[in-house]
Order: sequence, then structure tokens, then C-alpha cells
Amino acid sequence: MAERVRLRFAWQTARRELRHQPSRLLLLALPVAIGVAALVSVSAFEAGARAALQREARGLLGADLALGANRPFTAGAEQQLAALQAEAGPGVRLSRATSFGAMARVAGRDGARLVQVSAIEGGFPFHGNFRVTPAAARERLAADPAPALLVDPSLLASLDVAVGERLELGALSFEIAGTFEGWPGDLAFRTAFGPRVVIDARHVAATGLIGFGARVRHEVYLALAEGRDPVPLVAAYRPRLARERVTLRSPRDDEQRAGEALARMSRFLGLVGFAALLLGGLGTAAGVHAFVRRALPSLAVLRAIGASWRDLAAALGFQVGLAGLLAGLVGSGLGLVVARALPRLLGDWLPVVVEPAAAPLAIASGLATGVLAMFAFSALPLLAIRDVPALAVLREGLQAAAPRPWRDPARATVVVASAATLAALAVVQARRVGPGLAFAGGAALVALVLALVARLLVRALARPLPAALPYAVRQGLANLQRPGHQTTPVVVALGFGGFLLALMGLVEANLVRGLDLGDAAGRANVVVFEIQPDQVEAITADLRARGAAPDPAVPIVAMRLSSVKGASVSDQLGETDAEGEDRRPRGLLRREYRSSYRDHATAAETTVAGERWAEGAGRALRPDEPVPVSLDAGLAAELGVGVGDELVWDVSGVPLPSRVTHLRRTDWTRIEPNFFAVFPAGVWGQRSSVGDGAPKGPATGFARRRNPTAPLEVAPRTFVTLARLESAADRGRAQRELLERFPNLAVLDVTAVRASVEGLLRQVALAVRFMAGFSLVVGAVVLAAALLALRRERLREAALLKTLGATRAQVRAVAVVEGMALGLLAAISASALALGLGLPLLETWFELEPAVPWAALVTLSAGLAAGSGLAGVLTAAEAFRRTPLELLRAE
Amino acid sequence: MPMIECVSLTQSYASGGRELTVLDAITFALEASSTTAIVGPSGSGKSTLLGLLAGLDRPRAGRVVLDGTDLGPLDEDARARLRAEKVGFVFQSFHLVPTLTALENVSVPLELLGRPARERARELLSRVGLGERSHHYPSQLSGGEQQRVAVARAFAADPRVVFADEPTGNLDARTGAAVIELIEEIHRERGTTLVLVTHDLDLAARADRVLRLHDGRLVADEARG
Repeated sequence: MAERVRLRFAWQTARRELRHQPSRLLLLALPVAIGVAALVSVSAFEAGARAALQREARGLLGADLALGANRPFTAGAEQQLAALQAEAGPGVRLSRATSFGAMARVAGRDGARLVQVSAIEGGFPFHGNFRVTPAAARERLAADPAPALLVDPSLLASLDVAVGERLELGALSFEIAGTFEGWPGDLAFRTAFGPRVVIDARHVAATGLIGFGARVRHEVYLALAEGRDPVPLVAAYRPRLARERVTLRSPRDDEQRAGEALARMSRFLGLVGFAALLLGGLGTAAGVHAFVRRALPSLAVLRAIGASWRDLAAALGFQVGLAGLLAGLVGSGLGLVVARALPRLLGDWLPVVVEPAAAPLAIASGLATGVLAMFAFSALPLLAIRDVPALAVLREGLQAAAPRPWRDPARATVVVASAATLAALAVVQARRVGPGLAFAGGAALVALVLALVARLLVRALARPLPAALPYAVRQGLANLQRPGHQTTPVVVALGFGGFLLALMGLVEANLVRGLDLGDAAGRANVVVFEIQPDQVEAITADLRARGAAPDPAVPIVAMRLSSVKGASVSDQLGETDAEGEDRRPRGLLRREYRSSYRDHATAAETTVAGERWAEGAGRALRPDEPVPVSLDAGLAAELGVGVGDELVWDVSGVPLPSRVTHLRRTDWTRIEPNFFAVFPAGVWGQRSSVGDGAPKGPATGFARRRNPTAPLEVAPRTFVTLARLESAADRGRAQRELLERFPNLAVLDVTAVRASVEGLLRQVALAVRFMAGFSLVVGAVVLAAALLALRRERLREAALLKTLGATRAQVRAVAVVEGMALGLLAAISASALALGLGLPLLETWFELEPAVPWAALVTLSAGLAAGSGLAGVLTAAEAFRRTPLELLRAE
Repeated sequence: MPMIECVSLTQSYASGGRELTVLDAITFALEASSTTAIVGPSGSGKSTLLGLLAGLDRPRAGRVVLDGTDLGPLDEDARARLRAEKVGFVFQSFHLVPTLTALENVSVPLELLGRPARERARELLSRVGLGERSHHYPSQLSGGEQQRVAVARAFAADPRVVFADEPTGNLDARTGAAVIELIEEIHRERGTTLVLVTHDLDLAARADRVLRLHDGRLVADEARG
């Protein structure tokens, strides 16, 4: 039977050891503490964001209930609204809003910007942080008969205008009455693409922007009497309104959606931070290992006078536990400080202002994580105490026995328990079993590969190095296999941080390169859309006169799905709505599809299944035959349809039966008019009695005037055309002059859009890089700890070399070579791993033809090598200051 | 011309706020190819003297001339170069580089000078009887073997002087005697000047000359009849 552990003795021993060298505890704790800091910073940010979402939930929506549709409310919808209003009781306030995209331009000057116009009738927003400067401007919008508008401050800067000047929207000129902040639910990154402007609903018609083909969102906002809960109303009215294609939301829905986005973001960043914890643990394991080695003589003495290995393990276990607590405390404190930086990096992604919260839960979990990680990583090296021979007391230099085999029961138990603890921590971090285990497994794999590379290197160095190499190089490299040198953990820790950064750099560089479309020679950089059929010729001629060589204009027809494989979409919307789950298919059923018709494929399309129709097939169709349609393969998969299945579309109230004959993959990154659904050209066009441009009235008028099998080519539609203008000045002028002639158009300068997307992408990358930076810091700490752990050996060796006649430069060169070799090895294996994983990822997931950013990888490698070289010199600095005799005497 | 000449050599250290003199105006000269033993009780300044003679440290006062070169004006690196060319060492606790094999350890002095090393190192290892163990690391060798590697290293670059600091201090009597014999043999073969610091009076008696230190002063300078 195993003898009992003398806990009291163990505790005393631990206490005495710590009294002797309290700083050692901090050294052991530091790598794990940084990992804990990464995790605590993310969870404190998340806690703060969640609190803000809860606090400001009503402000997210700006109302207590919001009804929305992509077309004017039907009579049925209005009935439901009236019933809802009645049921909500007295004190209900109502406001209507119409939102659409439009070009805002400064009269008589170059430059225009796509904006999101919100035309308000009534007092929306009712709740939240909506602030107008000057405050009186808000009243003026509704009261002043002259058209005025409020703008997002960013628009003033981008168009170089000021409050008091005029902006034109469509056919109407508005005075800028003021600026506003805090529009309900607006995200900074989203408004960067199309800043919002607010006008009064009275002026919408006069802009002439809401015609056929315009994408308009109609919304009704309700503010309930104080204390009235909107949730029961949502439950009762959501299915009824869904049948009328009207959505109904309460603040809780928005809070939930923002909360989900927040959780996704936190999970991801948390996992990146968790990588830092794993590395820190590795560093700690190496530290414990070195510590046990160094403590061998004193452990041997204790064993010789009767302590069992269990007593000693318990003594060290106490120290490890204390180090874990310290790691948790220091890490939590550090994490709370770092959390203050996160809102600046991530704030644009949340509709609320976030104050990181010093959540007790975050700190408690930091402490628990610190202690658990510390034990998980220290258990195996601590087990080596079993093999400390008491005989070492008599024979200096006697090493612990060789490690026991893996099947040794105690060793196997410890390994399994440690792995399980780490996997559990990963699962907690990912909040899901699958992704958590996958992450832990992936991280372990990367670490394993790095460890393998380090081992191979050490083995390669065990052979005599070519004598032609300078002495310092050979000595520096040979040092990497010095007994007790932590080459493997250092390479893994530095390499992991380097890997994360290299992978980020690779993905970012390729995504930015993927955006590099407007700049590529010959590629279109101006997009003109919302072209009415009767404007096509004039605009094409205008562009041609500017030397822009426009592509033939492509038609766009707005339509919705009304049945899929014979099942009515309205019915499905009514059914699935109540469950509140699985939003995507519902969104796909409800959304508006901007489709086109043409008989040729574009360069961006690849056939996946079926066959495209032959040229002119559309004209040959009988009126009772379903129209062939080519679908995007991704959409088809989500809808669950394949070649041969039937879909019925609703084209402005007119049913269009179709059969899927062709599935294709589309490269959406190319700036070309791409569509989810493409129909043959000339469908029933021959029999049409109405020519281009005829329908100008509301959509219902079109439905009434056409027979039930109305041709696509007389449906309400707009055209889009692409062109290339070389200079920015030419593009600015074209934008202004086209909009002056045709105020309904949208004219986009693609290079400007690209800059916004790129900025956005870089911001995401920055946040991820920030978290990956933790890993690199841990790597640096592990490196420094590894170099310092052998400080005595290094000093002794430097003294010896100097005694034998080595100059200071030679001694320094040895230290530099050793450090740089570690850094370079880590960087090269990190880069290779990042390429090995990143390139296939870019090809399959992002569907890019990836390029290797050599310059960035070389910079990273050089940086790591230089940094670790410097660390080598710094840790050997003492050897340069002292004379060889002093060092030899200090032995 | 003497191989080593020291004049009024004085060394002192600050200790507890006071100046502690460990060597006090030592003057002597050693002929080339001679053997000299420096003896004295612990703390008499033997190792300090040895360090100053080899240029490992700077004296507070006085000067050392080694093979015609005054060490005084030389900076640390110049003294290191001089050691690399002209001085070999054997230490009480061997001081081999633990990450290098026996062969590599012996090669170090030659490599520091940029001379071809491997063949010569192999030769010397065979000379000290360790030809078969040249790829072993110090931790794989016994104390006596390690000291033999150190002896091979000391003579590797054909130095003019070899300093040996208690070379038998960590070895048993028999092994110690064997190491001393080895040092003396190679010294005779090459005509190297040998300076030994020792407690061992028997060993001292075998030297051409014995310098006796006490409390940092040279109290006796005896030449062997």
C-alpha cells in the first residue's frame, strides 16, 4: 500500500523554498499569466458588451416593435397593423420610415456618395442615443416646408461639405440642417459603406427616387406605453404578419442577434487567446522541468533523510498551485487592463458603446484557468521526482534515471488527465464540444509539428558540424543541444505565435489582393446601376464619349420566390416563423432576388450541373412551358433544389414558373454583374405588346395590365453597366455629370468602395493580430525564461571561452547565433506551417488563387530571428561586463 | 629573456567597505621551459596571482610581461588574443564545455585562432589515451578522463605557457599522479613553460622552482638543487 503523503511536511518545505526564492514563483507563473490575461480580456469585453446590449436593448431598435417589408404594406398587412395597435392598448405612438439607397451629391462639384436615405414620418427613433447637432435641427426637419436633411458626420468629411450647404438627392436639393449620431442599431462599419441621411417623409416623392426597380424598405415603428411588454404581441402577430411578408421584431430580437454576433466574435478571439494559454503552459512545463533538474541535489538530500517522492511531489505541487493562483491573479489584472483596448478594436462591430466590465465571473474563471492549466502542464515534469536517486547526495553529477516508458501507469494517467483538462478548457472556451476539441486538436498538431522540427534540428546538430563554419556559429548551434536547453519548448512557443501571425498575414494579404479589382488594368472601375430601360442608350453613348468603353448594359429584374418544388412559400413562412429558429432558409424564401436574363455565360461562372440553354431558347418557349433557370449552386443547395426541380417566381405580382436546368458556381469577388438566378433572353418577348420603358406606374399596375404569362423583358427592370475610366478625376467628373443628367442613377467608383472594404478587412485583421500578439509575447517570455534558466551555465561557459582566449566579440557572436537560430527555426517552421494550412484554406474556403506574401514572411522571420538574437545577447550581458577570473571564481 | 616577468604586482578588492589586499608587491621572473610551483595556504593569493599572470584580470598596481608582451596596456580582447596564442590552462574542476564532445573541446583553442583543428585534436586525444572516446560528451567521461581532455586542450595550440590550477585537486591520488605525469611529459616534449598552483607539497617538489605565498606576500622563492 502506498504510504501517506506528509502534507504538513510538504507545505513546510514548499514555504521554505519560496522564502528562499520568491521570484521563482513569478517566473513559473508568468507565461500562463499572459495566456490567462488574453482570455480574461476577451471575457471582460464580452461581459461589458452584453451588459451594454441589455441596458440599451430598446435603443438598438429605437422602438418597442418594428414591422418591416421590402414592398409597400399590403391591405392585409395594414389590417394586421391596425389590430396590433388596438391590442397594444392606449398610449401607442406610431412612426413610419422608408429607406432606400441613393446618390448624394454636392451641386456643381465633382464627387458623389452612395447613401442610405431614411425618410421619417412621426417621432422615430423613440428610444436610444439618437442625438442631433444642433438639437433644433430635428424639429426643423418636420416643421420647415423647405427640404432639409440630417447627415452622418462621416458624409460631411467624405464629400467635403458643411452644415448649411446643400446636398442633392435625386431631383431634389436639400439643405444640410445638422448631423446626428446614434441611429438605432447602426454599426460603424456598415455605415462606412453607405452613410445614413435622414429626411422627412414628405419629400420622398419629389426626389423621384422611388420608381420601378428601386430597392425600398418600408418600416413601421411602435412605441408602447411604459411598462407594456412587447413580447406577447410579437408571439401573436409574427406568424400573421409573415404571411403578408412583413417581419415583426422587438428589442429582444435585436439584442439576441447582436448577442449572437458578440458570442461568435468572443468565441473566436477567445480561442486565439487560448492558444496563448497553451503556449504559456508549455513554457511553464519547461520551467518546472528545469526547476526539478536544478533542485536535484536538494531533493536527493531530502530523500536521503527519509522523505518519500510523494512528499516531495506534494511540496512541489503546493508551489505549482500557488504559481497557478498567482498566474490567475496577475493574468486577470493584466487582462482587465488589456480589455480597455478591445472596444477600440472591436467597437465598430457592435451597435452599443462598450465599457469592459471587471466581471467577478471573468476573474474567477481566470483564477480557475490559471490553476488548472498550471497543474495540467506541470504534472508530467513533476512526476520525474519519482526517479530522483537518493544516491545523488553522494555522487555529484548523478542524473535522474531515464524517463520511464509511456505505458508506465502513473505516467499514462498523468498524460491522459492533463490532456483531458486542456481539452475541457478548450471546450469551455469554444462553448461547443466539436469546435473546442477541433481547436485543441489543431493546436496540439501545430505544436507537435513544431516540436518535431525542433527535435530533428537537435538531432542534426548532434553530428559534427562542418569545420568550415566559423567557430561562433558552430558553438552557438551546438548550444541548442546543451543538456537542459529548452530548444523544443522555445521553438514551439515562438513558432506558434509566429504561425498565427504568418497565417493572419497570408489570409489578409490574399483577401486584400482579391479586392484588387478596380486597379487591375483593363478591369472595370465604374459601375452605373439603376439605369431605366429608356436611359440605356443615352448612358452608353455618354460613357463611350468619355472613352470608357462600357460593357453592354445588363438587365436586372426584381422577383421573389412564391413556391419551391410545389410548396407555397407563404405557407412555409407562416409555419417556420413560430419556431424562431433557422433564420437562413426563411431569409432565402423571403428575400428579393435581383435576377437577369441572358444567353451567354460570364467569365465568373463555372457549370456545376446540368446544361445552359442554347442561344434563342427563350423565344422558342411555349407560353405553358416552365422557363429554364440557371441557379447559383450555393443557393440551390440551401434551398434544397437540383436540376429538374420547379420554382415559381413572383415578378411584381405576376407568377413566373421555372425549371432548374443549370447549376453554376460564381466567383462573387469579381466586379461583374453576377446573379443568383439567370433566365434565357427573350422569354415570350416576341408576343409582348409593350415595348421597353413602358411600365412606369406602381408594380400593381404592371400586374393588372399584363396577361398572366407576362414576358420578363417587359417586367419592371433596371440595367447596370460597367466601364473603365483611368483617372480619378475622370471618374469624379463622370459621376457628377451623369447624376446631373439622370438623378435616378447610382454611379459607383469601385476604387473608393474597395478602399472601404480594405479598411474593414484590415480592422478585422488587426483585432485578430492583437490576440495573436499574446502568443508572441508568451513566446518571448518562454524564450527569455529558457535562456535565463541556463544563466549559470552560460556565464561559466563565457568565462571559460574568454579564459581560453575568446574575445568578447566571439562570446557575443556565440550568444547571437544561438538566439537567432532559435528564432529563425521557429519562424521558418511557422511560415511553412502557415503556408501549408493557409494556402489550401484560401483556395477552398475563400476560392482565391493564393499568392505567397514572401516579403511579409521574410520580415516576420527576420524580426523573430533578430528579437531572439537580441534576447540571447541580453541574457549573456553579464558575461561581457565581468572578467573571466571573477566568473570562474563565482563558480 | 624570461618567459614571465612580474614586477611589484599588487591586487586588492573592496570588501565590506574596506580595501582588502590579496597580493602585495610580488616580483619574480620565470625562465622559458621551466616548471614553477606556486604554493601556500588557502587564501594566500595563489589563484589571484595565476589569474594576473594569465591576464584574466587587471592588477591594482605593478606589471606583468608575458613572452615579451607587457599586459598592462592591452585591453580585454587583446589579452584574450594573447592567451589564445600563447597560454594554455588546466583547472581543478576541468571546465570542459558540456555541449561539446571531447574532440570538439580540444579543438576550441585552435578554432579560436582559425587554425586547422580536427586532425591535431585527434592526435592530442590519442596522446592522452582517449582516442577511442573522442565523440563522448564530458558528462559521459570520468573525472580523470575529463582532466585528460583538459590537458589535451591546454596543449592544443602549442602555447608558450601552461597554467595549471590545482590540476589534481578533484582526482584521487592515482589518477592525479597519472595526470601530472602526462602534463610533465608533454611539457618536456614541447618545451612549454609550466606554472602550477598546488597544495600538494610532493607535487611542488618536482618543480624546478617553488614560490611560496602567505597572506598575499611572496615569502620564499626556492630553486631545486
